[in-house]
Amino acid sequence: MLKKQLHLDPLLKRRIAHFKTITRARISLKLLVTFTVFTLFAELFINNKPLLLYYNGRLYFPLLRTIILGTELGLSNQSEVNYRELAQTIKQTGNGWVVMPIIPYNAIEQDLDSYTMDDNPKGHTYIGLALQREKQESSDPRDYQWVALHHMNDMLLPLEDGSSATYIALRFADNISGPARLQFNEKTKYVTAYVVDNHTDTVSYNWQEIDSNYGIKVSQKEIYIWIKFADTMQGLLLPPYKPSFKTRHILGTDRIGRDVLARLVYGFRTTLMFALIFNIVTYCIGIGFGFIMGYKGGMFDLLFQRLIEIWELIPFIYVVMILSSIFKPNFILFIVIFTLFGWTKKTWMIRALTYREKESGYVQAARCFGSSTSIIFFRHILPNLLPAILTSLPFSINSSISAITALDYLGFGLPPPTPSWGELLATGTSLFLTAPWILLSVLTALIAVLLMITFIGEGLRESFDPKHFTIYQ
Amino acid sequence: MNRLTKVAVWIVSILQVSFVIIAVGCAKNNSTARNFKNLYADEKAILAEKDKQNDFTSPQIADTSFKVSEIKEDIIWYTSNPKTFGSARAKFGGTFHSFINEFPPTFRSVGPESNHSLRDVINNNVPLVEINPETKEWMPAAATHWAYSKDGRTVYFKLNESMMWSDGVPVTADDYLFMYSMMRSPNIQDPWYNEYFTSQIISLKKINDYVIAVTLNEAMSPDDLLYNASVTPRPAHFYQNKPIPANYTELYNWNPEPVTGPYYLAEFTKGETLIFKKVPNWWGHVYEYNKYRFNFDAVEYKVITGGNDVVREYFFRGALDVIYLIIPQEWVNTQNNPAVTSGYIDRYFYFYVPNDGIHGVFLNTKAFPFTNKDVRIGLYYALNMQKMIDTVLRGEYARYHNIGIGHVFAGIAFDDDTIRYPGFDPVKAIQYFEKAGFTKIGSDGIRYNEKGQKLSFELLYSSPNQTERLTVLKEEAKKAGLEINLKLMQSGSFSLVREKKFQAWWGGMSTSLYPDYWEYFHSENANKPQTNNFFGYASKEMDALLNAFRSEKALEKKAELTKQIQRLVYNEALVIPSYTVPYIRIAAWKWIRFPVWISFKYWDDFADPIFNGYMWIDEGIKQEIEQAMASSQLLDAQIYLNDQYKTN
Repeated sequence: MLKKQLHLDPLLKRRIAHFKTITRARISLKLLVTFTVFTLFAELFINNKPLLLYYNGRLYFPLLRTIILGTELGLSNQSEVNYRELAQTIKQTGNGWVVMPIIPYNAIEQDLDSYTMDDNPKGHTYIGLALQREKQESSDPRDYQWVALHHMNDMLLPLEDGSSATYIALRFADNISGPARLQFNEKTKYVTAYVVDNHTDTVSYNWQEIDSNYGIKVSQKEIYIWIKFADTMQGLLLPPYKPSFKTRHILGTDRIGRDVLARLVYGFRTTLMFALIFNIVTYCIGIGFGFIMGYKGGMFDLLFQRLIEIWELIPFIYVVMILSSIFKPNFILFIVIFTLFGWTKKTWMIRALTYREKESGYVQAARCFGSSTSIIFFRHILPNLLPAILTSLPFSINSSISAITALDYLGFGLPPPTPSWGELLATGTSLFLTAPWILLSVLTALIAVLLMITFIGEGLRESFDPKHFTIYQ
Repeated sequence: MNRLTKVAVWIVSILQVSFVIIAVGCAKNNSTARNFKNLYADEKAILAEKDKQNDFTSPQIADTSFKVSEIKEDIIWYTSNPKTFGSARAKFGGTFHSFINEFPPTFRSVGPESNHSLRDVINNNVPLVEINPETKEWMPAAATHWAYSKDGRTVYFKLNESMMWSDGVPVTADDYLFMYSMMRSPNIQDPWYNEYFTSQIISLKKINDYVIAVTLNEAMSPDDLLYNASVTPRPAHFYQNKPIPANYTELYNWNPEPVTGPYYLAEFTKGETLIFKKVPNWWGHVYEYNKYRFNFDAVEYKVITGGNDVVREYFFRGALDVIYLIIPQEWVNTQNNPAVTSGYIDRYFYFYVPNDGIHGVFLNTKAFPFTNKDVRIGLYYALNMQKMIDTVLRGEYARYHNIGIGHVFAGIAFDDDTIRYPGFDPVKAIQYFEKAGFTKIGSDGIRYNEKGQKLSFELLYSSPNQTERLTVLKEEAKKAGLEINLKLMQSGSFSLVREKKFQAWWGGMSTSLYPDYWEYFHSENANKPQTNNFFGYASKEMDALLNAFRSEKALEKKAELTKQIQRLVYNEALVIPSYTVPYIRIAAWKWIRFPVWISFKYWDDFADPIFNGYMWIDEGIKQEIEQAMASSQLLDAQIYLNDQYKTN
């Protein structure tokens, strides 16, 4: 019924045309709609399940099924297939083909094995040393001898040299004039390696830069030492992982190896859905009550106003925090709680507008003719409420996005491991010194989305303005 | 000026400038040679101390030559002779700067609000016997000798006659009598002490000026008796030898008593600082094990609010002398700090044997799905504790393989250290779950049984910083078809647990010198709410062991029963233990020095100045470091590591 009215109403057509002339609003709307549609179909782009899988002669559609167990594909494990591993095996054996999404991680799984060895010592606690006779750098952590940095007091690497076992000693220095230190730290730029025997002249060191790609040449020998850094005794790195295109963690990971981009996108979906549903429901309730209060007036209005005032006194955020900590709600229950304590905000504006509309000539005429309340509402009053509703809607969506993000940040929101921007903010803040990319990415996304919604809201307000030019005073 | 003069002026000025530069440079070079005399001397002494063989044992010996005429019954007086625990490198003097989170609400040792973290620091009285931190044997302290009466409930103590209060007044048996009447006085407004010194310690008698007899309410093994009877005195002269007045709580709120310990509260600024000073000519140095100990002249506690970040800021600016680096991330963050890499701050890493109670996942055997023992055993293989430790905790914590660790009392070990909880094995877990009837796998990968019940439970926990660790467990459990729902309840979780309204709980309970498992596992508590039998567990076998433990007096038998109880808990799968922290790590400014052995096997805080006290300040090194910092000279960053007691 509303659509028919849009078709017939030239006023609305003009408002839409006006809206299209506001560049900021138009672009923001397009971008936001694109992002929303993208997140609705996020499973196609960011997922640990492939889109198509052809294995052992059968075609599978993993996205349409919840879980495919390993036993179904003839693999050994009785839980869900690890598709990334499967993709590797398929590549090697050629036993089929697989179409993986662009980012092969989902928002919940923890990737703890993708990264090994770092050239940069910052933030790592183990140093790895590999002795190679050729000038060939090894990328296998097992070739390196791993030592905890706090265990390094006098690095002596054994070297089987024919009959006798000799040792190679290492010394580190911050600048080329020394002094020679036993331990490596982040200021170390130079290293020297020499064979320890009775004839070693320890006074003159042959310093080489540690950052070179050439390996450290051991004095008087054709042996090279390669130095790498890691977080564990096996040469692995621990999360949070830096952004890297090679491993497809475009925005890196958080402390337990969950992909940040995946959590950002899926979190956006949750947050946006929550905000939209919450606002639609509260607007419906608010319009309903506001209209009845404004239309009926009199004692009913008085009583209900007082009731609403009392209900509004309940502090919204505190009550939500308390209820969510007791009941640990899921998505639906959250919306119920929010709605229960947040619906009163919309009633005031609607009530005031209804009072104004009630006194207009056409409404009074309609009443004289005996129109029912619902016809008066849908045909006369609601279209006049529409500007106010539509202009306040984006800002209301903004505030509910902020509210749910704030609650998730404090830990009172949706239960873990649900991805959400608030939880990313909390993780990013605590990890800011070691992993700044987490906080930066979620802040950028949050600011961009809120800004776009604000622009749309401004655009709507402007397009509903009867005057072509408004001067703010 | 003609050209020649100009050139001459230029040449002279260049010479002057270069002379100054060379002079300064030379001066600098000369000073480096003399600069770190004290530091190098101490480092050389450290190398010598490394070779030293230490004997930290102090076995109990009977002193047959010691007699007290007033005691008629035939008793044997015991003592022990601990040798030197401290380092001969120690230097005396200086002030140690530490911090507290909030100013104590009172200086009283008893009464309202007295149960705060600084109570024992302010009321620092030496107990009658001390526990050896390396072997947990007894050491003489306030008492030089102790003896057990034939009635099995009384311990006689011979007080050290050189013991004095911090104001110089000698300590006698009258002070112990005074303490006993003080603790029973209603005017201290502390019913817990009233009760304890009425029904637990039923009498305290003076035999002569330096001998007392403490009687407990029930007979126990001699070592238990000694532990429970080791009380502290109160200064009778401070209270004018009169009974505690009615206005005790107000009158003595900010009026600290003199103490028998090494440090007394000398000055304080309310809300800001507390300054403790060393008692001049402290009597306790008469013991060998107190030699080279309590080396600071003063210990200053500053109130620092704002959390750990603020404390770290104070430390890195030199306002605090030591900070703790227990959490794995803190160790990594500190190693990048410029003061650390420049060598002005050293780090100490000591592996010890912690004293822990039950820590991990507590299972409620009365709640689905844990009514079935196969599910509980399957959980052993479905919870990947090691992966949680290796990733979130950077592999630094140790997997806990029992429900108790570090329980050594009177030289007897109470824990069965051979127990090993299994590691993550989804295949085995699935076998047990199938045995329990969870044979079908749902579309989400989670198992369910014939009745359609999902293999899923709610894991209750109370601290948000545990969420990351538990998320790892949750994700790994999916590989075995098990679903874990994490429920964070920041307050109120423990009361739910005590009412047995939970399925699984991620928590921990404290422990004492040796565990008493009666309240945890006895059938009497199985159905009673508000008890520690969270498991709802009851079995005849366990009851027999627990009853035998309670009636048994000999410690060896008690230890054997404890081990059997621990093994039974392992077989019944009531708890999945998580981890223990087997180390203490600190960062300390280079002028704070420690003995080469750093700490002792069972000691949990070697950087505490008031109760541990084996560290010292080297003022010479402090000046050298401050000069080095001013002139940006670099030193070797030292990490002192002692891992002789590392287990895994």
